[in-house]
Amino acid sequence: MKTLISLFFLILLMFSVSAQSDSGDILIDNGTILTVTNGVLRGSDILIRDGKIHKIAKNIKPGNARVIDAGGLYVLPGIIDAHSHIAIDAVNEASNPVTAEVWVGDALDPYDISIYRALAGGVTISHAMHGSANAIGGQCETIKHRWGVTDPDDLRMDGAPRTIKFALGENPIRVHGEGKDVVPNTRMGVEQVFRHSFSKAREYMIGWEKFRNGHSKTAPQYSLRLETLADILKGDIIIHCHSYRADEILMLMNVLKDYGVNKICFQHVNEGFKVAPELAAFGAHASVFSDWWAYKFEVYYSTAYNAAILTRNGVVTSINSDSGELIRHLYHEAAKAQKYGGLTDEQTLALITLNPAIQLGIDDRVGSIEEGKDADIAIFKNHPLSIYAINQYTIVDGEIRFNIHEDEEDQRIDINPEETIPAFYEATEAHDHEAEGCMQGVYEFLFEHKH
Amino acid sequence: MTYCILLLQVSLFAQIDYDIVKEPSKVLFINDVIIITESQDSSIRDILVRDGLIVKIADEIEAPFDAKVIEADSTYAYPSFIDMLSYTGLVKEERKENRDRLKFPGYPPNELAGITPERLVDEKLDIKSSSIKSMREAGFGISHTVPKGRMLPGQGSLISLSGKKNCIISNRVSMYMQLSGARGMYPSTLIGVMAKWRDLYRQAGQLKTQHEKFNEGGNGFPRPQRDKSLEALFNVVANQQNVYTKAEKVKDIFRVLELQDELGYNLVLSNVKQGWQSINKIKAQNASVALSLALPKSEKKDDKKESPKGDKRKKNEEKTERNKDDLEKEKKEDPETIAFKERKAKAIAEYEKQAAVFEEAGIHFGFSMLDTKPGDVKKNLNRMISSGLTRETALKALTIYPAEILGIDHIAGSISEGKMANFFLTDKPYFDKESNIRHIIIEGVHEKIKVKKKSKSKVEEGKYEELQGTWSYVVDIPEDRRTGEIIVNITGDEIEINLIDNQEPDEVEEATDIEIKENQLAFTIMVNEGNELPIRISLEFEGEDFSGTVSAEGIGSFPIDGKKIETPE
Repeated sequence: MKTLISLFFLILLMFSVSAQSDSGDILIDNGTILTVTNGVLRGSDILIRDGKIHKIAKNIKPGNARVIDAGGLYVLPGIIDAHSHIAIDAVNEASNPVTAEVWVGDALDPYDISIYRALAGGVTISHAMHGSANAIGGQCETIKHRWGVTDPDDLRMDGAPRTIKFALGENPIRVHGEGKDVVPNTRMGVEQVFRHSFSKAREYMIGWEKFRNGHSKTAPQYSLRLETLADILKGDIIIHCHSYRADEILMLMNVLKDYGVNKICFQHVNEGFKVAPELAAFGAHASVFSDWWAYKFEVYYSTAYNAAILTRNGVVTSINSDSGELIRHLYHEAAKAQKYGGLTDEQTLALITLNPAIQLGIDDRVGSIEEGKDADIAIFKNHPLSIYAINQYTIVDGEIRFNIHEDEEDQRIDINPEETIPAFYEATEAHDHEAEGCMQGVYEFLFEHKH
Repeated sequence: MTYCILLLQVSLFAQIDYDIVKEPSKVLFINDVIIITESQDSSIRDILVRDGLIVKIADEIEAPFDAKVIEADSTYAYPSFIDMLSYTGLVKEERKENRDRLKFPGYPPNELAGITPERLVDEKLDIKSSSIKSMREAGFGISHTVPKGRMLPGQGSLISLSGKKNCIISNRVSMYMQLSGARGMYPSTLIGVMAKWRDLYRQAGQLKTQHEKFNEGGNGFPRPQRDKSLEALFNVVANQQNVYTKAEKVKDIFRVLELQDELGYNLVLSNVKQGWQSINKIKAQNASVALSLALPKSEKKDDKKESPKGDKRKKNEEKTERNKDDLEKEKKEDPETIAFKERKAKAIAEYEKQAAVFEEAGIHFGFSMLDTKPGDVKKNLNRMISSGLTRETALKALTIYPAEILGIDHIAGSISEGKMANFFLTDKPYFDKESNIRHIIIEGVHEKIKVKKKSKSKVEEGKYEELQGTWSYVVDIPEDRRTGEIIVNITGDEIEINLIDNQEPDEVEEATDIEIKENQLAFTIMVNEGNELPIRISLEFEGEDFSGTVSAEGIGSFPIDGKKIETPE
C-alpha cells in the first residue's frame, strides 16, 4: 500500500513537472490585468497558446489548458531590463577603445543562476550588454529568460534588432587614456574616437562599393570591426550609450547628426533631466536608475526625479538594473520613480515593460498584454508597484519558468563536479556597481600596465 | 609527491635511461599471441614484423632466422592506442608572458597575441621527453601533438611514440585553436577571440582569392600582401585541414559549433568533457569529436586507490552504526551539505556517462590526452565502462576511430598486415584491473616492461606494532619544505606504508622495498614527474618521534623528521 501511495505521488509529481514545461495552453483565470497599453482589466482571463497571448476576455473556457487561478492577483507584462550583464561569460574586451566587432551574444551563459533570480522578480527579457570600458564597445544581445535551456543559442530573442554598447566619460578615459596611454585621454578624445571610427567605416564602405562596382580590382581588407561600424551608419544597429553628463550627451547627439545616425538610447543618463527636451527632439531614448548615483565623480549630479522629468518631456524612458541583484526588484525601482515623480501607474509600469521594449526595438512583440504578443507574463500577489508585491509566476513564451510554489532550494542546472564547497557558501564580491556591472573584467587593464 | 628541486637537479645531472629502448631489430617474431581486434574478437596467431611494419599475421609462421622472437603464449595483443590531441613530446618551457608594456595593446603583433597558426611542433619536440615514455607505457603508439599557446598556437603533428628519432609521422595534420585570450592585449577575452577568429578566417579567404587571381596572371590583379598567419590558414579555408578546437565544457562546445556553422570549416571538437547536451548539434553539423580521457575526481571508494585513510573512515562508519548518538548527529548534518554532496555525485556520474551517451548516439569519437595522466587511462576507461560504455567502443575509440578521424586508418589503428607494427601485449585482458602491459612494440621497436613489485612486505608478526599509525613529516630541502603524512599499516605479517604529500593530498604513494629492523625503517617512494625517480627514505624511531634522511640518487640527502599524530585502536 505504501509503495502504491508513493507511486501515485511520483506520477503526480511527474505530471506537474511535464505540465510545466510542455508548452501547452495556459489559462490565467480571473486576474487583474495591467495591460500597460489598454488600461486595467479586472476579472479577466488570458489564454496562452503556442507561446503567444491568444485571447484576452472574461470567462474564457479552459478546455485542455492548464489553469492558473489569478483571483486576487495582478497580471502584468513580463518585465524587461534594458541594461544588464547577467547570463554572459565575458563583459568587456577592454584591450582597445573600439571593439565594435565583439559580441556578448558569443558568450551567453544559460546556466547563470541570475537568470532564475531575475525570473523570480518577474523579468522575462534582459538586454545583455557589453561593458563600458571602451568608447565603442561590443555588440549586445537581447535575451529571453528561458531558464532550463542548455544551448546558449536558445536564450536569444530571435529577430530582436542588433544593438551595440558605446560609452562616454570616465570609464573609457580611465581604461585607455590612464591605463594604457592611448586615445581617449579626455572627454574630447572620446568624441574623436567616435568621429575617427565612423570616418574609417565610411571609407571602408566606399572601398567595398568601388570593388563591387568593378571600379577597383581589390577590396579593402575584410574587417569585422568596420563592417559593424558600417552597419551602425546604415541604421541596422541601435546604439546604447553609457553616459552621465549632459554636455557629453549633447556631444554624442551632434556626432550622430553629422553621420546621419539616429537610433540611440542613452544608458544611465543621470544628467538626462538637464537635456530632456534635446533628447526628445533628437528622438533619443533614456534608460535610467531610479536613485542610484554618487559611485564616481561624474555621477554626483543626479536626482530621483530623472525618470519622471524625462517622461514628461516626451523621452521614451525605462528603468534598468545593470546588476544581478537590482534586476530582481525592478518593479520596486519603478515604484520609487513613481513616488518621487508622481507618474501614473501605467506610466510607471511602462518604465519597466513597454518602454524598454521600444528601446530594444521589440515592442511589436512584447512589453504589454495584447492579443498576438509573446506570452511573456508575470503574475504578482499585490500590486507590482506596492511595497508588498511578491511575484508568483513568470511565464516566458508561454512556459512557466518561475513558480513560487515550486521554488527549490538549489535551482542550479549545471553543477561543477569538482566544486569543493556548496555554492551557497561561495564568497560573493562586495556589491559594487563597478565590479559587477559595466566594468567587469577591466581591472587587468587598469592596473597591470601601471608599473 | 613532487620534489621540484630534486627533479630540476635530476634533469641537469642524471642521465635518463633510454637503453631500454633498443634500436629497432629489423625483424620481430611474436609467437602464439592472442590478438584482440578492435571489435574485441580474439584469435591465436603469430605476428611477423619487418621494418616497422606488420608483414604477416597467420596461424603458424616459421620464425625467420634473423628474427628476435617474443614468446607471447597466453598474452593478449592490442593495437597501440592513438591519442587524438595532447602536448606529448613537447619540451617543457617556462611560459613567457609578455611583461613589457605594449604601446598599443589593442593592436599587438600576432606572436604576442597568441596567433601563430604558421607554427609547427617540430622545433618544440624533445624525443627524450618523459611524456613520450609515459604515454608509450600507457599503451599509446601515436600522439597527435599540438603546440602550446593561446588562441591559435599552431599546427599539429602526428608523433610516433617509439622513442626513436625521426618520430614525426606527418606535419600540418591540423590547425589547433582555443578560446583563450591573450593577457593584457587584444583579443583578451572569449568574445574577443571569437570575433578575431571570424576576422582571420574571412581575411584568409579573401587573401587566398587574391593570391589565386594574381597567380592566374594577365588579369590586372595586383600582387597581394604576404601574411604568414593568414597564409597558414589557407588550408583551413579550403577545407583541407581540420580545425581542432579545445571545447571542454558545454558552453564552449556550443560556441565552437556556432562558429563552425557560421564559417563552414571542418571541425574536430577537442578534449570534450561535458558534451552530452550538445549531441544533436554535433550530429547535425557533422563535427568530429575527441572526448577527454580525464574525469572529475571520483567520490566512490572503488575508484580510488585504497587509501588507509579511507579504511579508517570505513571503520568509523561501522562504529557509527552501533552508536545511536552518533547516528543522530549524522542526521543533523547540514542539509545543504548533504544536498550538495548528492548533486555533486550526480554531476560526476554524468561526466562518467558521457562516452556511453556518445556511443549510444552513434558518434564515432576518439580520446584526447591533453590533461589526462597516462597512469589514469585504464582507471578512467573502466569508470566509463561501468557507466555504460562498451569495451568494444572503448577500444575502437582508442584505435580505429581516431585513426579514421586523423586520416591514418590505412597505416594504423589495428593489428593488420601492412600497417605500422604498433601494438602491445598484456598478461590479462587489458580492461581487467589486474592486467599489465608486458611488451610494447611501436614501429617494430620492442620494449619489455617490468611489472612493479607488490607494495606489501613481510615483517615479523607482532613485533612492530608501535610503528602502526599515522606520522607527520617535514623534509627540509633548500628553499623548499615539504610536509605530509606517513601511514604505516601492519596486518599479520604484512606491512604496508603509504605517503601523502600535503601539496598533493589526493595522491597516495605506496612505498616499496620496505626494510625494517629494530627501530629503523627504510622504504622507497617513486616520485613521478614524467620520469620516475626513486626516493629512499630511512627513518629512526624514538617513541612518538622519528628522524632520518630522504635521499635521491645523484642528488643528495635531506633531513626528515616527524612525529606520531594518530594511533589505530
